[in-house]
Amino acid sequence: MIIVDNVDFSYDKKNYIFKDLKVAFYPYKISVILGPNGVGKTTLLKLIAGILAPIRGEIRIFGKKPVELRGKIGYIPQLNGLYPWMKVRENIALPLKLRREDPSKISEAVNTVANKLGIKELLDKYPKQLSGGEIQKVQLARALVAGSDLFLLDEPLSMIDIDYREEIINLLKEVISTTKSTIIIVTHNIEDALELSDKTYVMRNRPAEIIEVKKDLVNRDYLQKLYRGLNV
Amino acid sequence: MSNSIKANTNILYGLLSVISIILLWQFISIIVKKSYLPSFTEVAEKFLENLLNGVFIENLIISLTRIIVAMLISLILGFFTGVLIVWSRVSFTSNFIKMIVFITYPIPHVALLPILFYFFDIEWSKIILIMIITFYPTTLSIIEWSSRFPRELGELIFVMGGNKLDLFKYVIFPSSLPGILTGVRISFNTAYAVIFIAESLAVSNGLGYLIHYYWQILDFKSMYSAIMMLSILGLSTYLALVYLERKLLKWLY
Repeated sequence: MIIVDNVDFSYDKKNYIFKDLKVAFYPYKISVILGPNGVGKTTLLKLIAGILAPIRGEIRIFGKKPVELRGKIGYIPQLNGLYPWMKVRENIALPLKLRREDPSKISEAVNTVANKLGIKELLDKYPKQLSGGEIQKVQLARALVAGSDLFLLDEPLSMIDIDYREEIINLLKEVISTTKSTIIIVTHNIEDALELSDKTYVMRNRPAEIIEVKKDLVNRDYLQKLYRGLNV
Repeated sequence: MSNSIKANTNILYGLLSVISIILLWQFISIIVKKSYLPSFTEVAEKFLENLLNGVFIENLIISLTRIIVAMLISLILGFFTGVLIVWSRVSFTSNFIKMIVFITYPIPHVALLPILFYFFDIEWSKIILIMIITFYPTTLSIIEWSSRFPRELGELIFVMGGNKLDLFKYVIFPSSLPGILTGVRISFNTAYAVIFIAESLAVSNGLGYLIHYYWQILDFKSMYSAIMMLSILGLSTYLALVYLERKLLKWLY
């Protein structure tokens, strides 16, 4: 389980984005957090990734603190998180380089994951030569090559065209079915939530609250009402 | 347009403009007929003479050494100042250093030369002056370039298991490299302009000194030939740095 326990968070110690936030995410599932822009979705992902630290409360990922899992979390930011000065090959290899793995092992792992995701022809390109969909695939490859147990994806479908959309959705579903991993996705798009989620959550208000939506209630109308802050 | 065609077109335009400037110079000097504007051919003759008898080479090495020592110091200082301003997590440090840089930038630094003579010996005063003047374009260029990349790229290094050294190696240094190269290119041009002033006082060597000396003895042909030497040096440095930028920053171009 990924447990967010009574977490308080604020960037300026005045306006609290989270106050006593409590939520649990289930392992080996795709959890989608749906909410309007600016509600705190990215902040929550950064807290789980260990980039930010709660002011109060704690986060436990399979019993461990986020900082203890550095190198084991595949965090894919909303903006292009690829390093523009590195070729795609070097970008994918980076988590393994940071673990000081053997260069021949790194090269083999990069080729394997590139084959799996069908991006072998992109390996010698620079990020600026890629489309939005290709960027997302490379970011996913980088998270996969690290052997992450937990993937945190910030609006993964927001900057890609329709052709890549299905491909990315299928890839994420394949990751869940073939590896022992957990995926948490945040999005402002109800369609994304409907298509991707095993478990659906809605984040709303300030300080934010998170509501887990029961499986039989996950439909467009119900989610829209929750999204708009209506009590249903 | 392919890169090679573009490069050839640029060379063609470059040659065309050099020829135009030379022709214009020659034409005006014939019309004006004054000792302070000798013709291009007379200056070129003097240039070759000074180049072959070693006067230019000897003084060029002296000036270039001063400039390179000064620029190395300003580059190191500029790099760390820029990095602190952009990457410091403590906003006080970042804002405080930024303000010091911005407030001291508009000071006419050349005017500090007489004061520098009190603090340093003659040789180092010149080097420090060039260092101070080139510090600003280098630092500002590093700040400008490094700020273009999202901070998330730095945060990701830690999420992927990296440490502070990795952050420097994989993010801070490569993200500031365009700024370093642009800054060095601008600084070299500034340094060539400043070297004339710096070497006009209290020294008896360097290309700046030569220009000043020939001017004082009213040897205008030699004076123009020394200016020509400094211009060729400036142009060569500029072209070499543009080439280096294209080589090192393939990801950008």
